[in-house]
Amino acid sequence: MHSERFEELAALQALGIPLGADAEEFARHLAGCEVCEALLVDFRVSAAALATSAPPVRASPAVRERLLRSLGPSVATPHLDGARARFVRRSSWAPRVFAAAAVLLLLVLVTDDARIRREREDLRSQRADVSDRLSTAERSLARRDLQARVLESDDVRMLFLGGKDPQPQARAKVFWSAKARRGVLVAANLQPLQAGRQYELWVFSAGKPVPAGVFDVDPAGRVLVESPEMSAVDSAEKFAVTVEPRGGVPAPTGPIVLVGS
Amino acid sequence: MNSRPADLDRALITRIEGREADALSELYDRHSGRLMGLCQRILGDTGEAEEVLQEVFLWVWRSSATFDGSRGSVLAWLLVGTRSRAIDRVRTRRPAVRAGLRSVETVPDTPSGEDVEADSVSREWEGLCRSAIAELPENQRRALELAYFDGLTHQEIAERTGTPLGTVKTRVRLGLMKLRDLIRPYVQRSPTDA
Repeated sequence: MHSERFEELAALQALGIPLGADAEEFARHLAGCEVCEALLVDFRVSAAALATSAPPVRASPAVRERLLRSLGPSVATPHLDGARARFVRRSSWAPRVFAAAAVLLLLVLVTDDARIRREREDLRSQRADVSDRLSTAERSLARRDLQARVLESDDVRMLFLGGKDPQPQARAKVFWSAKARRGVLVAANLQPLQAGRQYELWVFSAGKPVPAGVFDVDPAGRVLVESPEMSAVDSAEKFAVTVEPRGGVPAPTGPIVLVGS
Repeated sequence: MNSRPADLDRALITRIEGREADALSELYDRHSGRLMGLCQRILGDTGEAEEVLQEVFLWVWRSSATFDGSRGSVLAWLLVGTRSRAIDRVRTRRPAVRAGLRSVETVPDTPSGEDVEADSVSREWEGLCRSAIAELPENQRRALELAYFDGLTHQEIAERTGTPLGTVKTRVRLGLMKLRDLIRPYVQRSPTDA
């Protein structure tokens, strides 16, 4: 049920403030409350408006230079004018100068003491560490972005899934974006399974089940899970959840516990 | 150039996906001033603000394919990316180093003649937003600024301002609602630019 509390959580989410323990509850509420869904969109626009109270400031020209130097390989622009093209041609001696400088630098490094080598090793280690953390953060961000993209997609449609024996009390909703070919399942009242078993989500396309990922539920029987991109699904006609061996199977074998179309 | 600013930005993103450094350079020239202003406001330190600005454009270079035009403008995407990075930096600082809040009036104005964003649509949007912010009751505006620019939670805002938690929650919610009502007419006219 819509309430001021959820409006407050929508305000926090729009402002990019972590919701902490309320995050999962709000995600579930948002999935079924059109009022809060629209409010969140409005609040995001309002939050962006706040940025305009910070007046523009010119950054040092060195930032732009550092940025462009650090880009790595890029394609040549097709818009070079004549003068610029001549400048590029005249600069063909530059690689030789850089090569000579590199040789000199190598000589200096070779004759330097062990301290510099240790520092270089430390830097490599730090760079690898930072690179790992960056990759992890980027994967996490990309996953959240995809999840948000499904829920906020303009073509998203919602389907209710009802429980079947042996779990008639189970309930779920699937939010499916045909454009993104992805879905988000929000389920409740599912029984936790024995070790070695997992729930598996199926999307039916052209009358055939396509596996859409396996999942476990929390002790209260709830879950929010996102499917991978289902490139093989042209039209999602029906969704179902079955109980399968841990890790999933290519075609359903276990009992259907949730189904809806 | 007759293209709308939003169309131009989207064309630049497409070229950046094609690894055209010139396109990134052009995007930087169009928006770095506004993003730098946001970084400076959040971080209160020019050096750190410039580091975040560089991080943001490197992220654009690597992740331009993640931009989804159906969810808003390129500028809105850049603002979200910039703010989240700047707030992350603030959160990793020790409390003693955290920059204090500076209200709108105390922030130095743009140097004269800065053409950091010259298109009239953006100027109209900014003018409307600033007017809307100025119309907010002082306590609502302050609560929103603490949340947006300092990344504070409800609880932290309550502690910082010595205000009951429930009052803070109400001020943030009502402040965003009032802001929404004030800028809604413009958003409905040009939703893709907002």
